[in-house]
Amino acid sequence: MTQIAKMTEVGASTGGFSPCESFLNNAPFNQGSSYEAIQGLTSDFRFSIDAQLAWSWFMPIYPVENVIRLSVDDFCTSVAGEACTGTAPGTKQMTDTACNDAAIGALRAKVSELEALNERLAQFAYAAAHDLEEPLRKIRQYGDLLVEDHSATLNKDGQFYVNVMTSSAQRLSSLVKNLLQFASASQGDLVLKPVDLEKPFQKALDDVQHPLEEVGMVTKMGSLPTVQCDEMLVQIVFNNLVLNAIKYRAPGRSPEMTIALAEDGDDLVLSFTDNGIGFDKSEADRIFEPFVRLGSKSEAQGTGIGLAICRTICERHNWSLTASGIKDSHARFEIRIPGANRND
Amino acid sequence: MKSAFRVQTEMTENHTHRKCVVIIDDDDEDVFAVRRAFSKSDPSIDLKHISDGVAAVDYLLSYTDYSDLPDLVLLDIKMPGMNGFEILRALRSSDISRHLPIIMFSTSASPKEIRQAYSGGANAHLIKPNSMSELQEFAQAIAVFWLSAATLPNRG
Repeated sequence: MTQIAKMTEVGASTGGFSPCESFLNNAPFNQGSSYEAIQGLTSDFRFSIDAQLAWSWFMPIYPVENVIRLSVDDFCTSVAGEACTGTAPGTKQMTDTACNDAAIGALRAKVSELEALNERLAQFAYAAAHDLEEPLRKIRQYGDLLVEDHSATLNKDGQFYVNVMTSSAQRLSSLVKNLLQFASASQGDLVLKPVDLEKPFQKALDDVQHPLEEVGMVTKMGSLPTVQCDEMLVQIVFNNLVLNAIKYRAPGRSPEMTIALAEDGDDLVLSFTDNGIGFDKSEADRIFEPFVRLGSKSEAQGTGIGLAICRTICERHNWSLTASGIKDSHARFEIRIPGANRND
Repeated sequence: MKSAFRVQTEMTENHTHRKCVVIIDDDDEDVFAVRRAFSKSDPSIDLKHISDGVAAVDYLLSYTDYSDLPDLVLLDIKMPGMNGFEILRALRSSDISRHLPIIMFSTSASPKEIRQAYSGGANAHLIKPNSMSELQEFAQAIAVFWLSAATLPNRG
């Protein structure tokens, strides 16, 4: 119930703010809620809108499936419990079938509520992007104008200050874009069809052709399989993995990335191995958290959300994405596709 | 008869020799930057700013002669009152402005809104760029393609 108390506070504090402001003011929001949060969302309409704003903070961090799965489990237990034990004294206890029917009916209602909620969340993401983009655009444009028109009267310090301001605004604007990409990778229906993985991989390489050439990275690829997946999302995964290898290349080594396919029982395992700066074993899981950046800001450019996007997309496909590596030697990312090697 | 709505223009009207662009956007600061970018690409372009959707539609529908129409309209989407899509619909359903080249100029990168723009009859959709140099490139591209290379309906 502590979740609901927190959400009520969130709701109470939103008066007078635009959705976007309240979204930022109330973040970070406690991440552990699911069933309780959903209960809160449905109890009262006004409240549900406010809670939704709070929800949107952790939605991108927990893939939608996880939230739904968790809530459905909890909900089943809860509804079944209520339906079976909540009968009036003296009446016969409900049969198992009636119990299940009640639970299934209520569950269906909850699922469609959640679907509607996700739809509204996607709309909110675009609205938030618009709200954030506009002031950011002006900071950059007017910073540019300041330099253009007044650089003669700005001394060295003044020019330095403006440069820091405009480059920070630029970084913030790519952060917003990445957050949105993360949010939209976590929701919406997967468009599943058999895809020759070489196609999205080639497209991903085309997308990053410029940075690839800039650092002189060589990619070596064996033949890739055809698997059932959402091509657009898988392309985002490949794209981010290549960008990651570029970002964490080792100074003084000519950067390479090898993409290999292995069979492991029923599973196919796709591995991406680079020869970059690698990472410590203890960091292997942490690198998938949003906004974790190994190494200092000056060592690596980026927003620190690429790998989190990759993992979210893989998990939505019921694939796993894991990392292994040795510091100052290489990093290796493995996508395990369960059942893809089964001949049936 | 031109409508009496306030139309900001920095230069005097002279349609026969000057390219005329109407920008419909409630955001004065964005328009200031756009004006700057256009004046650098081609100082002779006459940029009229109308900040209100209803006033903009009234103004454009008040023309009686195709040849007097502006060469191009830049249209923001998210505006209070009449939004960009409503303005687009109004302009596309009137005989006088049906053929007017209209470029949506908005923050929105939503695929749904981009499709909506084109299917509503917009001639292009541009996302407002973040830096002045990108905005400058946009203005240059518009000046080169729409105001120079393309044969426009009011010139034909």
